[in-house]
Amino acid sequence: MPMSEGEHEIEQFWYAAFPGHSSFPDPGKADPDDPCAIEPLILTESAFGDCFDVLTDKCPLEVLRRYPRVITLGGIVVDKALLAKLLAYVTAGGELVVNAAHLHDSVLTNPAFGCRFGNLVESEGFGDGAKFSLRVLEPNGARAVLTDAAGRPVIVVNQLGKGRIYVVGARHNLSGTGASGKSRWLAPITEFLKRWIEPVWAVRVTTQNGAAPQVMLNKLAKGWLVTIGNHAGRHWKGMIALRLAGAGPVTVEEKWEQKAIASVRQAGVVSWKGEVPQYSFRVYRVAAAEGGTD
Amino acid sequence: MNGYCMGATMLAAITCCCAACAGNSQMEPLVAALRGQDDGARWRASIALGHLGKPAVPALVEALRDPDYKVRIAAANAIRDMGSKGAESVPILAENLSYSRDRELGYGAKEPSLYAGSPSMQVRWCAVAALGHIGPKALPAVPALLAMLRGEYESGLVGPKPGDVYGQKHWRAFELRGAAAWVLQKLGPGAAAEYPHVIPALAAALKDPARMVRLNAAAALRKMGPAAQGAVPALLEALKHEDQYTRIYAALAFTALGKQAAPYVPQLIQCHNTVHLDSLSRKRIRRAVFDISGEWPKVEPDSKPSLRGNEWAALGRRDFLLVVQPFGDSSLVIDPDKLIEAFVTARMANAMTCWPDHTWYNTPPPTADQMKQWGMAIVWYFFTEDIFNPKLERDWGFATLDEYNLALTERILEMGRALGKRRCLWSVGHEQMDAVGQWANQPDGSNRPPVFEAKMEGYEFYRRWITTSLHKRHWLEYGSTRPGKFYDGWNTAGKATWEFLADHKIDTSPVTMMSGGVSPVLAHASFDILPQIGAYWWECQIDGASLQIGSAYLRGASRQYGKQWLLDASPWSPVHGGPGWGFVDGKWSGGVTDAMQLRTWVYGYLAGASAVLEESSGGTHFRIEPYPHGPSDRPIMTSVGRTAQAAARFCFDLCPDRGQPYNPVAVLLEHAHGFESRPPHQLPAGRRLGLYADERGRA
Repeated sequence: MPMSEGEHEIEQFWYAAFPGHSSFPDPGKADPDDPCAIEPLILTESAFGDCFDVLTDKCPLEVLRRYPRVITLGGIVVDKALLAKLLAYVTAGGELVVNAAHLHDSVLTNPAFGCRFGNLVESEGFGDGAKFSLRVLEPNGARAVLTDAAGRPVIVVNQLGKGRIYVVGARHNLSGTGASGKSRWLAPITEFLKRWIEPVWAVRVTTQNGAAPQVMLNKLAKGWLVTIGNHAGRHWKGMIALRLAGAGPVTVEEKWEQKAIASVRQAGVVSWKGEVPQYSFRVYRVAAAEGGTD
Repeated sequence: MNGYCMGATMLAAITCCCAACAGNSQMEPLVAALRGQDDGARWRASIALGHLGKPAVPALVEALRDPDYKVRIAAANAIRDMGSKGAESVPILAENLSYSRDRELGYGAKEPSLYAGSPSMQVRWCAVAALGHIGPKALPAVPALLAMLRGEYESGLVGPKPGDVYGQKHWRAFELRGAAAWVLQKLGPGAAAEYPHVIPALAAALKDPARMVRLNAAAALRKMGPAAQGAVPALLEALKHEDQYTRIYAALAFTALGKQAAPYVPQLIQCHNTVHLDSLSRKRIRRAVFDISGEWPKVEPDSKPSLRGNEWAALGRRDFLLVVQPFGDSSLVIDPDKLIEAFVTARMANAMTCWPDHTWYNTPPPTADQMKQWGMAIVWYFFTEDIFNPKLERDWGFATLDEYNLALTERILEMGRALGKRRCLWSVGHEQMDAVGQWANQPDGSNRPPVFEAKMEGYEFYRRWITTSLHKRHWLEYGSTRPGKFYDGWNTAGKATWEFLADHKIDTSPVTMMSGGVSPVLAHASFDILPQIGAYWWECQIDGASLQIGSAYLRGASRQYGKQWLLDASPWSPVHGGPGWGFVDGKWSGGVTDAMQLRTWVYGYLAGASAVLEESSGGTHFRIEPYPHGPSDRPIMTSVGRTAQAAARFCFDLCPDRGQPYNPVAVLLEHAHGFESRPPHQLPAGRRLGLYADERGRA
């Protein structure tokens, strides 16, 4: 069974989310005295943060509802039954990104999308020369949030109940006029996803020295763990900013070295300087100090 | 001609070529493939020729003289598969026991590997395995086997250079001595009757520096019947050996003498009392005394030393297990009690894994009492079709493979009833489940990949593969390429675990059942197909696949189905080879680096795994000095062990509250995902990645 467009989409999505994953460093550029320098990249930077869980279309609605964001990928087919489940998810407050290529013909006229679906055309891209196949989206209640160089909607959004549905017209989110091994995840869609995920991903990390790190979040009963993984052979330094509801003082403690970390809380954001040695990690526990709330 | 085409040709040859009428013209393509350059076609030809039986023997005898060592291996494996029908090849197989071409062939910096050994070792291994399967008709090979047992052929092997820690750890020449004893065990009393040197040689082997040789020699003596009388002085001495396993095996060997062993009962009881922390072995020795004397001995009660020392909060954790593997010390030289004690007192883990099979010699499985004393949870890895089981069945003295499997199953369930379902997990396997390249293996040696027109067909094949004995075919390929591990052939004739459990109507509810794989993308399918499993076992690191992506699949599947997942951090490295002891004298000794291990273990904890397994830790976290002949009762912690301590300290002491991993974005896929072909990635040496099922197995 040949690799389908959907499988190319899954593959390219993971490369966009975890650049360089599952590959090997160039041994010719590695320090011969450093056994870590040639090890496979099983842990890498995370473009969106380590924010994903994979579910399947058999997933019950009550499980789906635990996720504020859902994106469809691969060979999934959104037929009437699945759409009903997804609409229930959205109207209750969830946000769904669905690619037009995943929609079964039987659901294309559903008003929930807030748009009419036209033919598949060739888009000249976003001014970067990367052509792609585009399902024409004619907003009919929805609004465009991303357009191609010709001004045609590539992503539209429609409010539904307490939530939103985003429809992506770029076929399988990939470059090229037919998904293949040469297709790549479209960079403007990556940027869109970053903006889409950002409201539910409470941490922002800025690198000042070293390579971009891996970022994980763990929710505690009171507070958060923020994990910074440095998987490169250089020391990492940067700023970590965590949105934290509530007010008052907070404590930041690095758990590996058991050190209290100085932090600043301003406009609902707690910020502190982070440092992680090469091939290592640091885990920061952030919680309201006595008298504060989170 | 590529491998798949060759598979079809071979199938055609077999179809029109029954054992009675096989002619040279029909065998020619098989023999040509055996001697060709395509390794894949070679092993399939090997299986096909083994399937043909006696008519293929003359060609295989010729192949056993081939200058190419790979041809000899393939020929020996074909004979192994046909058993006694290959008897005419015994003289040439015996000659191959001293095959020595290492100096001419040379081999890579990371050889000998743990499984394969040097080219000469591989040839010898395969020859000895074939002799073992021929059975009593292999008696003419006994003089060569005795020479092998005495180590007389080892001068022809190229050993590790001085200072080569990796080579030293993985140097397995002693296994050949042990293998010779293993064949003598299979030949039984006939060997001793025809060759008077057998008993003295086995008696002398009880003093061999390698534990495996001593154990196999004792097991062989046990099979020799009254002729073992000549070994009594050596056996009595072995009852006092510093190595506990040697004492146990020597004690059991006295049953060969029947009632004639009655004068030695006091020594057997004395030996019994020197066995600590191993109630199963103590029970077997008491049984031996009963068989000899007709009376159950009065002995000291089983020892119950408290090893826990101060209470440690980690031992009470229910949500997370950090698992080590002290049973089955792969370095083969540390006293088992001392090793377990070292693991327990070092505060490295709150759980142990026990793999009763998957090992060369018996590792007595622990009892529930022992686990309670140590305060540890347990993760079993046991499957009824494991190719080691027939040897273990014989070593323990079970009458049939079913009896052995039932006894092990009962031990596991008994522990579940004692410790509770959350603290007793049982995996029925993983690596045999999703190497799609091996889904094509056919018992006749042909290679026919299943053709899926739709993803659901792939899904249904996967269902059949993991729930029935079909997945035994996975071992067929390994059986021809890794003789050091799978010398006993690929098919035990026992049913795979789920069918075995169903046949015997066994209720597994006292334990948490597990299945698994090397491909995390199939976790949803596994939970759906096997609702009786409570957790998915993912072997990771071994092929360089992303932990973050794999965990996204596993965590999502676990949340979707309300199950758990185990992250098995395999220390085998695609760039540094088999696991070593970390840094030794400032040099890296092999395996995944300490820095990567630490990040992987802690990552698993924070990413939400309910268990993180430090695979093979029995051979990496402690060592003896000097290796291998230092004092076996003084394990020294390695840099890997110190890293494990640091990980445990973090998970249990410094950051005991991990909360819940926060993953607000669901990636929604069709249920039957993960069954499409994928191209190889740009990796060194044609390596493939393990995220997806079909990227493994064909490298």
